[in-house]
Amino acid sequence: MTPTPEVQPLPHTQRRFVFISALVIFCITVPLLVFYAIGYRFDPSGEVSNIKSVGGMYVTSEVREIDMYIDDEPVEDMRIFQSAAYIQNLGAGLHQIHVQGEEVQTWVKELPVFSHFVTEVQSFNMPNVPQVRIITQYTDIDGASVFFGATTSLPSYFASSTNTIVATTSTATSSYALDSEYVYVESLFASSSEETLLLEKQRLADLKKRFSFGESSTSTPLRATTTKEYRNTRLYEKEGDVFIQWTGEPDDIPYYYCIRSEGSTSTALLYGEHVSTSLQAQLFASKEIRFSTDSERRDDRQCREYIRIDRLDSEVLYFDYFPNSRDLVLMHLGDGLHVVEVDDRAWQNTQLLYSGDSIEVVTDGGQIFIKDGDYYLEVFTEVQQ
Amino acid sequence: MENSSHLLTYAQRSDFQVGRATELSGKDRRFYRFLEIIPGVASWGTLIGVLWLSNYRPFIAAYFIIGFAIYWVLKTAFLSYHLRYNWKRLRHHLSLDWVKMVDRFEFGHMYQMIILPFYEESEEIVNATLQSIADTRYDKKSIIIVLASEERAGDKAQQIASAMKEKWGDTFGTFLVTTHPQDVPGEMAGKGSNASYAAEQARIHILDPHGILYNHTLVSIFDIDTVLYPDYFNCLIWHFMTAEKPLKTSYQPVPIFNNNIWDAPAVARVVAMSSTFWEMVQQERPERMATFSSHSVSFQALYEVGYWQSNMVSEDSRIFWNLLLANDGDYRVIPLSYPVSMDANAAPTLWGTMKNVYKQHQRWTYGVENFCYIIFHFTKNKKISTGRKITIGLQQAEGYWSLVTNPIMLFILGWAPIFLGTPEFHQTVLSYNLPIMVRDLLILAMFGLVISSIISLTMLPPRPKEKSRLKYIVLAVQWILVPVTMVIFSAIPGLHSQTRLMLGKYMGFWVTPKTRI
Repeated sequence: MTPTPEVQPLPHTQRRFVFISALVIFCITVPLLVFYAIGYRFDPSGEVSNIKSVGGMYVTSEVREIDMYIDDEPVEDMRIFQSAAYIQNLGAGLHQIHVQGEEVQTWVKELPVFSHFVTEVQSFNMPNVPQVRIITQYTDIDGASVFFGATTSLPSYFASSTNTIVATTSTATSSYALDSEYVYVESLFASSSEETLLLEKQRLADLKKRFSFGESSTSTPLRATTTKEYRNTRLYEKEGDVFIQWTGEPDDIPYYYCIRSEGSTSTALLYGEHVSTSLQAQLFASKEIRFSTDSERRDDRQCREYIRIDRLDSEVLYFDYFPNSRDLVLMHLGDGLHVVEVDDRAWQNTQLLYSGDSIEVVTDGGQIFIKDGDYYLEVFTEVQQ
Repeated sequence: MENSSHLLTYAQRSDFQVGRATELSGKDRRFYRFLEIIPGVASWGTLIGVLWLSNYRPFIAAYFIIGFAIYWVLKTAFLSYHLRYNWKRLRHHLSLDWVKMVDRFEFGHMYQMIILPFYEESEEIVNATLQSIADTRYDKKSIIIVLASEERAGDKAQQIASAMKEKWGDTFGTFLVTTHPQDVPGEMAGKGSNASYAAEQARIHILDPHGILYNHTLVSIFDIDTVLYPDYFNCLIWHFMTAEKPLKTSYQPVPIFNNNIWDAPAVARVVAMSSTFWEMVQQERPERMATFSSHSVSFQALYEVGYWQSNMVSEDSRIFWNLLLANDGDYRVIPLSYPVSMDANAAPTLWGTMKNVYKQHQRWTYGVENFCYIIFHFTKNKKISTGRKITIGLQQAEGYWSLVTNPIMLFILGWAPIFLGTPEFHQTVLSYNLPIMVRDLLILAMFGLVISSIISLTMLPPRPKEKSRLKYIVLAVQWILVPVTMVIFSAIPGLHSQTRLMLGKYMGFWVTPKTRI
């Protein structure tokens, strides 16, 4: 018998079969996956149709090691390198999201999800117990802060301090070093008092304007010394309320300035009456207000230029941007320092960062300093290890 | 060769061995230049088109990318199927006793001419190649060695050639050393011009004086680092004897770049094995094959087309197209599914290796110049059927286009709509699902790499004693580098080559340094 290699080249018919099979799979798979990607799902239990439309929610958080719940069900698919979750397959309607973790305050929001769209939201979770660092006038040779008191025991609110504190009953300071940070922070609070005075003047000017006749009102705020600007936003006080204004390009506007809605009634139902009111007010207000015309109803969303920051019906003693963020605002109210989210859809979550009815607050270079009685403290926004 | 009467009719055309548009004139020149521009425009157009779509029509871009990712998965599966089949066939061929296989044929009249072009490679490398030829199970007296040196390589190359002739001269039937003169007008310094010169010298000094018939001489042109397996020539003879038209056929072995695989860095290993696998896939679909690197062909066929072109870079594949056109389409490649071993591209340093691999692949992908040549001559040669012209033209166009665009589109531009899309797009479920879907599909496609990894382990030469067994794990895991190597050492050099051709900045021949670490 003539020897020939047993394994022959791949037969053409076999190759053609594999090719046609692949082509058929391609033709079937592409539309299926495209429909899936758009947000269609097969639902055998559907009453009207076996095909249902879904949307999603994308939740981010600054805090790692948190738990998320959507409609009281835990969210399993958290991103590995960031505290975020893309929650898929949500039916259209309102969904409640909880974000909680150990030693941090719980954040809750109820937002609408629309078919084929993703609702974005950012949570924040401040520590349950204030995280502070005491800044004393003197430090000892080891760098520990020195506390002068009647006894050698420390006040209870020093318990959460992250730095070492040495208590002494002696008033002698010769063996200690003057802490330069203390001097600097003290100077910050001295200049802050002057600013507070200006804030009062601004408030009085606002009151006068309210009772004067014949002056055209304008929606553009007076540029008070208390106005702060950060990353295309302006934070200012007007008539006792604090507002944040988007000053950047319309295309870059953060998602929470905009809502997806088909009428004022549904807006109120889905996002709250205050959002509906604020949207209508801005739509019918002066032409000078940007985002106010129909042409600027961008991609089926309606966007506002201003958002009022919730002050819990209290007087605002001080306000500023939360360090390195335009999404959160620090509000010094009567009972302490609060962090309020700008996102007012449904409601604005407010979390107490430091309680006290006789404190002063100042921010500097991404740090938050508090004067509580005779002491200066730095307040941290994350749980310190 | 001034007398062209020995050339086939079509090969007698003055533009038969055209290398670039500038060698033509008038309408032909403009048409050839147009063809040189097409591949670059198509590739850049595709890539820019995806970016444009991502920016202005992100939904369409997203649908396209999903479809493309599915296509990639299926293509990977399709190619893996061919690869696995050829792997089985290659192992089977290695296990055969080819001496017994060819026993039934009368082939004592056949001569094996082996042309070994070399430049500045070391004596060790040249010697290893000759040693492997001497170790083949074939009658050495019917083997003609043509060691083709370059004058531009200087005295050292001549000394090596002389030393090799002295050492191996008596082992083989004939041992001819040729020295290709430098700076010949109209020639590009490179392998093609050297090999052509060597073939003509062999004809003048060996074949004609000894009355050896051209159709009784099989020419194998090997890179100087090629190490033969023992039955290469028996396998070649078997296929030659059983071929339907043996003189109208080229014979293509599987180049396995594994001589130095244990010493080469991971990047070089992955790129080298990927090239091997591509050739293995092609072996199972010979209608798409052209010759590549080391290959064999009858002297008669070579003589009828004037040998390898000496005025262009990718002479190894161009010779096939020369032969196909000169024979009016009656020419083919028979895959041998039998290996020859070559060096993986490795330099003493990692950076040097990466540079060399990039340059080597830029040279290989400059094979896109063949596309212009094929299409140009398809419009001239009326004897080839239109159907075949269309098939070949589309296969070649798809090959060069996909080589450049597919990896970039998959691994980079797949995410473009997410970064470039409109705000309207960013709010959609599609925008969020796109990266997840593409990622999952690419992971699915990565299963093809598992097959590659397993096959590559079976093709390793014996482990040197100084290498740890743990290296097998590294050799298996290294395949995760493929997405990176595909972009950096395949797509980008390919785009570079096409861009140069498009702009008329023609490339010269870059000799891959052969370094044994």
